[in-house]
Amino acid sequence: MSFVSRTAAAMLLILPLCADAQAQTRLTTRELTNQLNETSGNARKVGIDVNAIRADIEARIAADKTDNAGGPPPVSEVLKGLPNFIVQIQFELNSDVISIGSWETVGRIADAMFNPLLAGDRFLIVGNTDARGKREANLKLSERRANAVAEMLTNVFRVPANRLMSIGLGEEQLLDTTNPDDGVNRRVQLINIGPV
Amino acid sequence: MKGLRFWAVLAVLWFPGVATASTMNLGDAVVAWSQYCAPDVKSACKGLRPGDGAFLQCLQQKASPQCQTATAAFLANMDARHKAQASAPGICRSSIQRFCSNFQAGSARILRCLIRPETFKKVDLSCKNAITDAGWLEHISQPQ
Repeated sequence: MSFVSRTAAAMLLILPLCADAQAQTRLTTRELTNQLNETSGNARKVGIDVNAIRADIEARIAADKTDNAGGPPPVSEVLKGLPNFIVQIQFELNSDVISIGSWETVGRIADAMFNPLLAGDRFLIVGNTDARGKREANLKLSERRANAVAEMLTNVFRVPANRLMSIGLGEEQLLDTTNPDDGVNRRVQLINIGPV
Repeated sequence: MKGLRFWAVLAVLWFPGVATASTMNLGDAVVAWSQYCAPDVKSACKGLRPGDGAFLQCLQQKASPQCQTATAAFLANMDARHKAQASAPGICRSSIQRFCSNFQAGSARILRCLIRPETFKKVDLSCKNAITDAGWLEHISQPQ
């Protein structure tokens, strides 16, 4: 079992216990920096085609004709094993407006991105929803939310736009597949996709 | 406590460059900002994304005086950090030539050379101050 998958397994256990806003504010720049850098031996320049991934998901939704996503996650194999970090960012209901209670989290992410250990890297921001509601709507909402995180990092915290990419996966890549409607699935994943 | 933070934020605005570490990290800075602007964000400027230009305009036009002051302080801190990060390579040029000339440019490699504890203690004071203001020192001196 790789470190990343062990970490992911540990997060499955930990996240439900600390989903409240108070726990989220304890997110530290150091945790973010270390984990996004930790497996830097595996970090490499990864090409991401956001449009191709979106088209792939839309085709799946059209073909499945079911309201819940089944089958393997659509994100390409190449992303697996890259340094990543899962954060909970609160948004206003059905909106891409980041709640003020989560501004600190976005600020800590920006601090990590300016950290000398990460300052030369690019990041993919992945938005995910739970399985409630229509798959198409979730796909669009998660994309708008991922874009909003990138927008705040760029326009408020001045992280250069060329260091960020964003993509929404809707409910297609649930964290907890046995509880698809659980809030733990609503999350933002940061993935280090290697040098600028 | 709240008052203290407010004055700390103001100090950044009023005395730029007086103290060596005159900038705040972005997480702390945005917490200070949001404390004074929460009522306005939830009412007068509700529904606007914080990264949208219209949001800042709304705060500057409609927010309470406390929020407007805190907004100005937040922006001043961002400017100070940005400026420090942009000017550090020039200020540190001689230190880079002395201690990091064998590091290839790009991907923050030279920066990581400069902040290694054994290098950092030898770099000149102006370079030390620039790196401190840029916020690059935090992870070695103030782990958080």
